[in-house]
Amino acid sequence: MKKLYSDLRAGGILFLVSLVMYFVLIPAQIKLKGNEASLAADFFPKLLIIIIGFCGLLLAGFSAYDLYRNKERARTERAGGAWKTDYKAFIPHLTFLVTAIVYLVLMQYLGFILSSIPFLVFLLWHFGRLGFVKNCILAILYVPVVYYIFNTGFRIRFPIGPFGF
Amino acid sequence: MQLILDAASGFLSFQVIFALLLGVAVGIVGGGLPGISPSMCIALLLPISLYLPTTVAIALLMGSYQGSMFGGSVSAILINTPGTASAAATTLDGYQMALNGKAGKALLMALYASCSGGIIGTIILLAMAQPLSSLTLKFGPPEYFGLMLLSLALIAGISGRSLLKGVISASLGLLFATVGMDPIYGTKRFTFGNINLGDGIQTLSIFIGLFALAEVLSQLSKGKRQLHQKPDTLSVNDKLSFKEFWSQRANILVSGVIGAFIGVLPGIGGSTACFIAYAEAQRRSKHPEKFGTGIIDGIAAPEAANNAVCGGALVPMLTLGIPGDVVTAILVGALIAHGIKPGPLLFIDDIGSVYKIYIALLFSVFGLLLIGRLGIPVFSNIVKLRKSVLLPLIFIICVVGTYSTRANIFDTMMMVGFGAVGFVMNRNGFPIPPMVIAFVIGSQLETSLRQSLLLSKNSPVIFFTRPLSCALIVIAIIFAVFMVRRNRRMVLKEVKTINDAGEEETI
Repeated sequence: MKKLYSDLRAGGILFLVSLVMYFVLIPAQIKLKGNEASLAADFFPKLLIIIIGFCGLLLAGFSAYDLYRNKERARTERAGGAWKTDYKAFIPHLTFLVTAIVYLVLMQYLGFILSSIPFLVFLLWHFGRLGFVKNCILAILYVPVVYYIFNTGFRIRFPIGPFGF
Repeated sequence: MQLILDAASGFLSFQVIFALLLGVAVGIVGGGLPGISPSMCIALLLPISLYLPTTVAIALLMGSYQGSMFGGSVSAILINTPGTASAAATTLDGYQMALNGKAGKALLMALYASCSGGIIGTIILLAMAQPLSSLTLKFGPPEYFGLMLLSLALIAGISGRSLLKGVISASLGLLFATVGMDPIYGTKRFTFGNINLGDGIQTLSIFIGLFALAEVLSQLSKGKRQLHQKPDTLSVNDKLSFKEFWSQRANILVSGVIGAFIGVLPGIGGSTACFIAYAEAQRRSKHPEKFGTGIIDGIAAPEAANNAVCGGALVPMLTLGIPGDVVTAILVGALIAHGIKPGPLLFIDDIGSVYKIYIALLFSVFGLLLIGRLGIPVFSNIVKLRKSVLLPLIFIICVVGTYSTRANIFDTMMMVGFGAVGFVMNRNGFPIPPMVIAFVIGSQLETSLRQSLLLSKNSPVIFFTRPLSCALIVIAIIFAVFMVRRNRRMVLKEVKTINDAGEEETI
């Protein structure tokens, strides 16, 4: 039942997003040059968005129909909270993504090594239970090795920090 | 003949052999660690391959492809957890053998069967690729469109439980492929005024984001306690005799052929191949009741099949330019980055590269035999690595990998974004493979569609007046209708089961 609720929600969101994309995003983001004889540059994206919107609508429709067919059970489960998503379960993922973005922004100013070591120490703590000292040792050993392999071996120019690496 | 010898001689340098063996070793480790798929492993090697000469890069990637297919069996046998989906059938007898104190014998059987399967797959590739490429030279834009539509329908239908979700996933992949310049008029699309999107979304950002980072995020859901657990493994000291291996020759041959032919079909892949080969081996066996109790027949069949898939999967990739699974989709990206464009013209314009790929695949089998034989004790220890340590280290490699292509932080940010998209899609049951494969063939599909419509002055009738394109589109539609019906039946059955369970609970 929870899957049906999730499909209903996903289908609805996809339909709404495709409406916004068709009427707002495509006209704003694909400026036709005027010399397109036929089948302009927006033809294929529009076709895809119609398919996505239609499939989204079907997904929501089928899920709603299945829920309607089993309305008694759906009502009981809804009262029990089946409709709700446990957003707290996603806090670790969100923390990871936010810190990753912060790390990537800081890397441009601090350089690869200086930003990666504290970030890796944080990740090792975030994913598991190694002690702080072990995390620090692993990060201090690992990051310079990766830097050396890619910088020397593959000549990748990493962002340079205040200390020149 | 001269071209074959030239291609073969390119593989006799130290650099190429080292890359091949390194690829095999990385593949075995990657495949052996549960949670690291072959696609993730190859996606992480892809940025490195871009900095290598073409032959070295091909050797690295092919070695990794074969290695990861075998690697899955190491953890399947030792810790009852298949490292890859293709090794799922190996757990049935592999772990039982390990419990009976025959872990070493099981691993050696898996290795020899994998190598034999790899050779069978290469032979099938050699036999099928050239004739198929000659046939596909007659294809025009409508036939190409029909073929790609059929491939997408197959992949969308098979890779998930819901065809609708598969179609949405594939359409999203095609939509992401439209970012950047329009292939006909050069109009900018969805660039948001950002110069970094002018060339479209970087392939590596999508590959690494959707496979590696999405997997890292999914693993995070398991919680710290489970991620920090160290799996127990069993001793690997016992040996396999030649007589025992030889007794499996027919089983390996049949399973290898099954695997190679399943590999040719888009979207089905190694996991299905190994279960079909396992079932066939059981059906043909004189003692079918012993399957599942720990016998080498139950290891030889799936392992020969899943490595034979490698050769089979390269057939549509090389001849049509259409990847049949996610690994070949990544390989297409790698080959294009090296100036090799898979498709029928490759067999005319650059046959030398085709031979290089054949030879790399064949040599990687011997590399697998060597590395596997020497490294089994080492690899059996590596599968004990804690995920809590491994996943953060992988994320740093993901960052470096995506950054290295253009030395651009924007690509890395996109990788993080696609990681989040992949995670959300996984959580909601939307399959990722159709999206990735659609992204890879997106530009070609759009060009074929628009060229066909331009030829016919915007009339879609062109797709139905040419026999081959009509047949391909009709097959795609029939398949889609079949999948919709199957999906509806499955949903109704599921709802009925849930209702019955609910009623029993109430009683």
